[in-house]
Amino acid sequence: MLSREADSLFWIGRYLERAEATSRLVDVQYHAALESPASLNDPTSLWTSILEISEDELIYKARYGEVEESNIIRFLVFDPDQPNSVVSCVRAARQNAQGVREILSSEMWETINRSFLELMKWDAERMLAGSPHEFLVGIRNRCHLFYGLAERTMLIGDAYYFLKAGVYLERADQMARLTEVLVRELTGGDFVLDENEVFDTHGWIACLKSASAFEAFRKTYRGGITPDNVLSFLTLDWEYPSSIHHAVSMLERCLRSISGSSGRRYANDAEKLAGKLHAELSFCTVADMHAAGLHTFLENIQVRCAEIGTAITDRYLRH
Amino acid sequence: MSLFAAYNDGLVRGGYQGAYDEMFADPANLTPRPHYKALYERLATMSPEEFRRRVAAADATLMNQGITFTVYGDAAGVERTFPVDLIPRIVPADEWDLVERGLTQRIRALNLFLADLYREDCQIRKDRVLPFDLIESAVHYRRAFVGCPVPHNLFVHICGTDLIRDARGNWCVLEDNLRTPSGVSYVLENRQILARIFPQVFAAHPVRPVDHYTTCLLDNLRALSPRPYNPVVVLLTPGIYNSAYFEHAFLAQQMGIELVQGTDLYVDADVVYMKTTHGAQRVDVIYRRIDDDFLDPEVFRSDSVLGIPGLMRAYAAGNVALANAVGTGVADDKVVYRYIPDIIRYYLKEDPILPNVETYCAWEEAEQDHILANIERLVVKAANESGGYGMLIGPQATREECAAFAEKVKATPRNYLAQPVVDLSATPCYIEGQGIVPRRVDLRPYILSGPSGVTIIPGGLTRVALRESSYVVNSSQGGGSKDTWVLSRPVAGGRRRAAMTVSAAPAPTSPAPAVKSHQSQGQWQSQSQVQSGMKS
Repeated sequence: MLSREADSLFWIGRYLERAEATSRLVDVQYHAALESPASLNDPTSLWTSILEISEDELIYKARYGEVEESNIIRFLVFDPDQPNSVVSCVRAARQNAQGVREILSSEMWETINRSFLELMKWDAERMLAGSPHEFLVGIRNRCHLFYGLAERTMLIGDAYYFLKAGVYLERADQMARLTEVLVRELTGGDFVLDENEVFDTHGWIACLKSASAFEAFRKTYRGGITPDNVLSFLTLDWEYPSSIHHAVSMLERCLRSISGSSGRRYANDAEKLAGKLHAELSFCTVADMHAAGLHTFLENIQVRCAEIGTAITDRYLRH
Repeated sequence: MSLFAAYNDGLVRGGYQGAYDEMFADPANLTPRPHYKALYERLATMSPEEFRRRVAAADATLMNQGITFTVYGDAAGVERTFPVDLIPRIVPADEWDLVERGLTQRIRALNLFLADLYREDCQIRKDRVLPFDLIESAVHYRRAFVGCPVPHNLFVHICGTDLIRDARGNWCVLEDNLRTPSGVSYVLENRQILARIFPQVFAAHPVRPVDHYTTCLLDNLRALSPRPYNPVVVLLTPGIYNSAYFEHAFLAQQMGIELVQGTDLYVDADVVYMKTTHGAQRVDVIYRRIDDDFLDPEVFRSDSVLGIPGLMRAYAAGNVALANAVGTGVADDKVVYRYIPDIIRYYLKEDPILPNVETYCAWEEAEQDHILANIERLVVKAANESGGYGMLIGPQATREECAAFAEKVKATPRNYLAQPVVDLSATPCYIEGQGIVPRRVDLRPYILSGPSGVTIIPGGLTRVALRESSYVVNSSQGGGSKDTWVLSRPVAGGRRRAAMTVSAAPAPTSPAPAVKSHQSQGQWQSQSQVQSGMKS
């Protein structure tokens, strides 16, 4: 397929996954702040952490000044000048979709177009006056509808795999960022899980929920919520579909499907880097993570994701 | 209250009395023509609320599917839907026969004309059928491509010819569009929308289908390939900001071909390649939706960023085919238009089946005098503009506008021609706030030419001037469209779909099957059955 079109599909995947992750994060944290009046955490600090996930803290402060809930929501969800806001992501996804309209099925195009047009009718005031949960779930459902239609209506060929590669790469990256910020929040900033430290169950539950992981976690770890179990689940789990490990393994599979390379050898740098990260995560344990330092470990994953993204662009997407 | 309550008011207020009314033989008394009877009766008994509900459903469909176009120079509305009027325009079988024969004749003559113009030994020039300096001064004449080989000697593969009906209902040709005519996607989409919104009305009419258009187009495009085996056909678009981008994407999707932009292609050793994720892939046929001027910055406009440097070298070498071929614009020059009837007689030795609209050309002195003397009654057009730009409608213009246009005509007579105001036919349209009132329409059929002959999908795009009294049907100037229903001839044995929908419980055509013995096969398996089956 055309490199330009592959590039568009890859970025549709990335943008939608980013919009999905951001809307879920805002949803969960908005309600966590609401529901824990005697929280161990100051809600402002939570929102600050969220800003850090998107690395946009400085931009926020320059534009809005003080950290304040409604402004953060405006910034993360509705700000058209903030490239990672939900609105910007959906707009960018739609713009890319316009350029590959003949590749997407009509249903997929219509879903993305409709989502954008609908989103344009909203702003922060309208959302906060109504049910933010319903609104934010609506956005996620639109993304899921799009993914579902891709599974159901798209030819399983290069176009499909570039779209999915974008989704999985973004998912791995978003999970690493999310975990990093939550761990920092829950360890008081030092990334060290001290046995004597007060264990904030609510915090770790919110952490799982913001990754859509709470129920799946319960099924996997009947024993209960411990920080190590949560960490292991979000980063290393083999069966949880949003774990970093799973996302990277699916990313590698997509890349191999594109090149047609067998399991024995890699065909290009993108595959090599994805395969390497996949293998490392397959054999990693929580103890290894602690040994490396949680902060270093999670930062490193983000760096590796960026490298894989560059390698994919260099090999396939330049036009 | 009937949807037609305001029809007569609208007729008078908009000045439609002189126009041929497509639906009514007698508009004042709302007497429908025979082929409109069923539709009229259905609409006349429909409540305005019900109709409005269907309009809203159609609008939502258009917006959600992104069936929109971009208006140039309009900062506010970047994307707009092209309004579809839900009342179909009906063309009976015998009328369509005439139109089809006329258009087939015309495109055959036009292709022969172009093939003649672009060969070394041009016959029509020798025979002085038309003043040849008109050809040589035509903006879209490509002298450099004389002698350049063109597959099957076919220049125009896709043609959109605009037809109108005069006050007596006679069909005439207003203009040919031989470069990159657009609008066919609306024909196909309008049909889908109508069939979904008015299934009952649709079923009651023997409407001839249009959905073979893309199949036929793809076959024709493939037939142009210089390489016989599994040719690569692409559609070249200027990109997502082009006003017709929706159509480009739609056609590429329907044909299953790549939708490419100039930057996706490059030329190496006179061969065109596209840049794919698996390296370069050779391209054989380009259905280009870009004008000649922008195709190749090495040959045409050097500032073009839409084109592909070297494309014309590949084209001249016969390594890639273009649809339409380069240089077809010379034959849809509005000045050359006037000579098409002569061209038909010259190449085919036949009289034109569809007449032109009476035309005066400013470079003929006597005719220029006529234009200048009557400018307030004429439509004056620039020879090389399209989309309703660069024209003067005398009766609707101010004295100053007429005077200014007269100066332009005198300054460059070659560029102007004039026609009397033709009373485009009127047809019922639904206008929000008014109900059903008359509006003027034209018809653009799409004519495909390939090595195996000419194909015209029945009907075409009926374009509507939605503004009251307006004659301008262009989408960029407040126009809308309608689905066009060409009816098939009554076939012995009765109506095809209506018959099927009437009988609620179809009688078995074969001896009654032994229902009981087959019952188990026909039943849906349910989950509990499966589970109990596993247990036992």
